Amino acid sequence: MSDLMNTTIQTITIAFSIYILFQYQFSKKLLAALVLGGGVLGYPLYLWQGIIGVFLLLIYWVALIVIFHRKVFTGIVFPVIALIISVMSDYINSSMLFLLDISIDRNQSSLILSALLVVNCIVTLLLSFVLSYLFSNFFKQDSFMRSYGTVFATLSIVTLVIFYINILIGKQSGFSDENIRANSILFIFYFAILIGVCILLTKMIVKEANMRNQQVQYERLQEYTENLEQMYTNMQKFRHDYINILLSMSEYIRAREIDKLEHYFDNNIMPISMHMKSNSYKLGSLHNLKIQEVKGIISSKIIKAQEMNIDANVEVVEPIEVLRMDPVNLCRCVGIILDNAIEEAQQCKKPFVHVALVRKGNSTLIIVSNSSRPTTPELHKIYEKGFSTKGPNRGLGLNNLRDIVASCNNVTLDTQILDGKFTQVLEIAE
Amino acid sequence: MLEVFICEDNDEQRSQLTKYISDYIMIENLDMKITLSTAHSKEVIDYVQRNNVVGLYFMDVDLKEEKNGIVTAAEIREHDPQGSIVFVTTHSELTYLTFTYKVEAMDYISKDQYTDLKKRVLECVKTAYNRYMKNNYNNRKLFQVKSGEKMISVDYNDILFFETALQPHKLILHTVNRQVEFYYKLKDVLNIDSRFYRCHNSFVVNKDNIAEIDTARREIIMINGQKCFASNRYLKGLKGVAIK
Repeated sequence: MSDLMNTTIQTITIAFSIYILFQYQFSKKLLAALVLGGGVLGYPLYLWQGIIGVFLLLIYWVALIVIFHRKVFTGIVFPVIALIISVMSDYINSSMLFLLDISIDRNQSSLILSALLVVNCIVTLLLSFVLSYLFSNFFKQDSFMRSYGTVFATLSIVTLVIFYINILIGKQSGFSDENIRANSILFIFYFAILIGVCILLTKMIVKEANMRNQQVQYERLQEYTENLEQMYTNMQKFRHDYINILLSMSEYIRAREIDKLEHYFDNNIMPISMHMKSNSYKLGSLHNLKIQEVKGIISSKIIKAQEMNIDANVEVVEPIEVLRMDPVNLCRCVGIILDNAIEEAQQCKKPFVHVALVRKGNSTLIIVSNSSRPTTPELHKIYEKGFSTKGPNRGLGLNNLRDIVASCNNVTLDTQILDGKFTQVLEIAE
Repeated sequence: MLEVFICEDNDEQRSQLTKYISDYIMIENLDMKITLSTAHSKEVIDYVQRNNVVGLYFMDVDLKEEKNGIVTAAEIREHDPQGSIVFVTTHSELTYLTFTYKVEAMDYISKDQYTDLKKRVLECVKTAYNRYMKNNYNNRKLFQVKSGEKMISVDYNDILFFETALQPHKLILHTVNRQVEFYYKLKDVLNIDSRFYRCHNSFVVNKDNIAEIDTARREIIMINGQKCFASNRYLKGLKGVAIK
């Protein structure tokens, strides 16, 4: 069983491990480069530098991923983890063999040795699947990766270094059975603790993210309640004025003083009807929207828009109780759409932002329509990644919107510019 | 014959509306008549159900009935997909988006601005009539597809290209002023019209709207500057395309 086969197959397996950890997101070309590179370079590097050669291979893989997949943090951590998994499965194998009281040495028939190799690969891939699944939930919180990302990265690299130092030391002292046994136990123990720590850390991060969301939610609902209370006070005032006006008018009618009546009407009724159009009433129909997070974000943004003197209102004619979309993604989409609408409207002569939630058949439509400058950039440019009228290093909002919509299979987006109006319709099917 | 329906429960307002419209029809000698003027939406729905109608409907949103005007209009829309629905309402602009998207209303008239009422009503009559006449002699080719609850209707001439979205079974239709996602298969698009050409695994382009083909970069540049990709396999088929 030549070393060549051994290293080559192992490096190829590790390359596939990396692919699995990345949730199959590589282009076919990148995958091929990783696998072939691993296979071709594995043995020569082993010959040249011994076991440390694998670190050079690691650098090759990391470089490929960082350059072509453009993810730095995961590009470093995942290959390291894949390598750790490979070492782990090796140790798991030897532990199993030890437990089953089988003794292996290099002179065994190549059939048995290849069988072992295959088992090794299978275990490696299995571990990759398991970890990939565990990580998939974690990586949805990508904004917090940055804070805890370095912790994870350092932990993984340190682990890998410790593993290999140990291997090297073991090699010096000749890899006795006892040595291997001790190493296996040590590593499995260490690995188990490491996984435990990672899971705990992940849970903490998720909890923190949720708490932050709750806090924002709460503040928005506070705003909404204040708005409601304002409306209530206005209504009281109106009722009071209304009764007075009716009284006065009935007097004029009784005395048949039509001219005075007309004068009174023009001076008192018209102003009140103007008042009724005031901003607080424009959020009135939100009571039909029963989804708190969306209600919060819409009311909060509309109130801000109103403060910027944008004519902003919301229509919810029928009760909307359920939307089949994850609330976090839903709020992000609505947030991005509203932010864009408000920013564009601000720059117009007659700014307006109209929002509507409409039930149509089996879907709910979320419609945001805002005024748009004649000089506004073309639709396809607006959706380009990195394009922004506000300066460099911005312009990811609408792109993120596209990505989020793409990740939900029951949501479609319709964007249109027509007659000075920019309209986005998010359709959420049941 | 374009049939007009008026549904308003306030008697004075209803007779006023009816008079404005019938006078206008007579003076302008339009191919229209007022079929129903009623306070009860049920009459309108019954009529539309029993007859094949293309109509112009003036609906009061705040009818004091169990069903509100918008729901009634949605029912009317089911029986008359081409008709023009105009909402007459006291709520000002408060629900114009809902009218438009739920019911594809043509317009709304706000009772608040009562000085303009007659003018607005007659504008609607004129628009609906023009639309009706144009539809009868229509030779504009429209790409029409129902996706989810939406009916998407785009003039063939406006279509730039179709692109597969990141989601399976979803496509994105690009025009100069619109990008709309809908559920459809890319290969089905090819069967619709000969001007749609598959230039890439993920793109079907409208040959009539190509401005330039950059064979080196394998990009197709559309008349508005937007780019879509071509693959080697399909580039050859574009050689004979007349460039705008």
